[in-house]
Amino acid sequence: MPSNKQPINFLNYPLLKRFLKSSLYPSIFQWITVLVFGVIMVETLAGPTNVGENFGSAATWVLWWPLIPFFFFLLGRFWCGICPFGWVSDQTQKLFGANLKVPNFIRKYGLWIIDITFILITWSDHIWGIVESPRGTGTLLLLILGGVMVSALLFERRVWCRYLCFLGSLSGNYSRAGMLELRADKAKCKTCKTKDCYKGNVKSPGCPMFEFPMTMENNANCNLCGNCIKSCPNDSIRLTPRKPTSEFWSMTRAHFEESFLAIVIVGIVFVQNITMLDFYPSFLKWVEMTLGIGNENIAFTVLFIFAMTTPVLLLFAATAFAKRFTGESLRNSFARFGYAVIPLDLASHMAHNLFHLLAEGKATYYTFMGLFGVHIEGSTSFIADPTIQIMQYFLVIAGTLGSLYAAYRIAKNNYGASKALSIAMPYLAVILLFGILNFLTFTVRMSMRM
Amino acid sequence: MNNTRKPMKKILLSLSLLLLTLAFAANTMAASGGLEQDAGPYHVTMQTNPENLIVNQAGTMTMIIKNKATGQPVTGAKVMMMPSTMDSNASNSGSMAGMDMSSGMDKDKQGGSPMQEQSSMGSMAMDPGTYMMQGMTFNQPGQWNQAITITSSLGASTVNFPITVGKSGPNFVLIGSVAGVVVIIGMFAAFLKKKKN
Repeated sequence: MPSNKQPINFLNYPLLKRFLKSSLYPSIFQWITVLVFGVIMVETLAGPTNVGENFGSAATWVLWWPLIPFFFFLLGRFWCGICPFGWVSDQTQKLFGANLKVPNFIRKYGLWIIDITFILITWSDHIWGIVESPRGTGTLLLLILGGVMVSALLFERRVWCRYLCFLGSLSGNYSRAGMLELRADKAKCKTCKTKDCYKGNVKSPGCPMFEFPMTMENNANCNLCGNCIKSCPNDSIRLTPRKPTSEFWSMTRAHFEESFLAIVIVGIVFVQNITMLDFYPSFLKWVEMTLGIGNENIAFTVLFIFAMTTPVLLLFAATAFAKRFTGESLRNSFARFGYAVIPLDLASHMAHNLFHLLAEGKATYYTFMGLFGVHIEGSTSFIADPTIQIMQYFLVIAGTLGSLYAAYRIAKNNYGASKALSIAMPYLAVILLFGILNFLTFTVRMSMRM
Repeated sequence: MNNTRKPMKKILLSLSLLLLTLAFAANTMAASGGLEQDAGPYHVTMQTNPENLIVNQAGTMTMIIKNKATGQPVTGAKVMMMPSTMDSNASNSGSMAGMDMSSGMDKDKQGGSPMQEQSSMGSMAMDPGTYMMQGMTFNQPGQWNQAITITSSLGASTVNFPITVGKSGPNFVLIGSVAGVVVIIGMFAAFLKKKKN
């Protein structure tokens, strides 16, 4: 198994290891995020209702949301380890939690609940305006907070983060494409009798995400909280860099619901892109007129359903074509190849939000100063639009290439080099189509959020 | 064990329903109420939805116009909503820069926008003589004055309504509901924890 050998283990750096083993990690980061989150909650629930004046909205949608996919790519689910909701969950559980076992229903259907929630939140955003309305943002955050607390009060560990958080699922998918992985040395783990990484010990609680590092083969449910690094008595944990997207073709268990989310995100990102383009209002009007609907919310809902279902149907069509060579069931092949679109999802998400970050980023500073009564006006952009556009093109092309390569490697690893291209071809065609459509959306100027 | 859980479930369900009912009731109540005035041959009732308009939040203004003498609804009238002005003690007195009507109506020379006569709204039938303006937003809190000119076969007349635009505060119903659910589940969790121990 030479491919499993990793040349660099970051935990070999004594300073970093000491820090990750200390009680400072991840609490030092958590305290910062909890503090900022507190301000964001107060601002979005009780601050200015004008989105352009609200620090909570700016910090959430112009700074955090655009930066988060970059985090996932570089550091996996590190964000989830320092997420303020996770901290709230831990504290609530510690003080009042009943620590019940996770119900089978949540274990079994948690990802579907997430898939549906994610779709509904995206739809609600366009119907009621979550992003453009500070109160909408506050309501969303408050409902998440409520959900986190309720699940922490009832169940053990971080049930919300593992089974119910829509962002957790998104981050799980995105971090699969990422460059950093935490794994255990299986040879060492085989001799372990205590399983402290899962159960916990006096040094640290067990894995909050219900993972057992020895059997962990993907990044989806590791939030890099450091508990296993602290508790492992055998120094088995490794923290290593890796080739981006390599996880997709090395995984042995593919889950249909995870692939489904990946392919739905293609539609979601496309909807996000297209609804922010300058021509969108007239396009929506045209849809209204053509379909004779007379209500823009219903017209949007029709478009939304079309955008969600088309990528799923296209991937199913590609799977049906490939079935001639794979001989596998539609469900299995769909599950296996659905992951291949994640690099494109991630890149499109980054590209879309790069505009908000770079063209509107200064709004975060302006609104932050507004908290102290300092009124600043001026351009919100850091760099000129054409430069941002070039970066967006670069990201989408890189994402498309990453997805194409991942699809090919999935085919090669599962069905052999001789059949790889024939099997991958329909998927490559679909991914290319998604890539071109995404590319085209970035040729038109987007509207600002703030 | 099941016997003790069942009443608890019922209590939780009832409390959740109560909270939801309160939340909906609060929204429904916000749409009720109105101001009435006589202007020339007209008796005009004005309502806004929400009742307390909030800065930067789109609202709807509804006018029900009746013949003052007969009480019959006035239909087919030309009802123009003139530019809103702030009260004289406000900093930008006379200005209408802070008010916007985003319903896409064409404005006349005086900057007025026509209100549309409505016979129904969705599946709900409206009273005859009902005129509506949707998508009104005010970007400054304070006391505003809204002039409406009505022209029909009865004659032309102008009516003025005061509008109070409030600062948008927190939605305490929502916050209270979430907090309430968390507290109830917390009590339930404490009960389970105690039982477990």
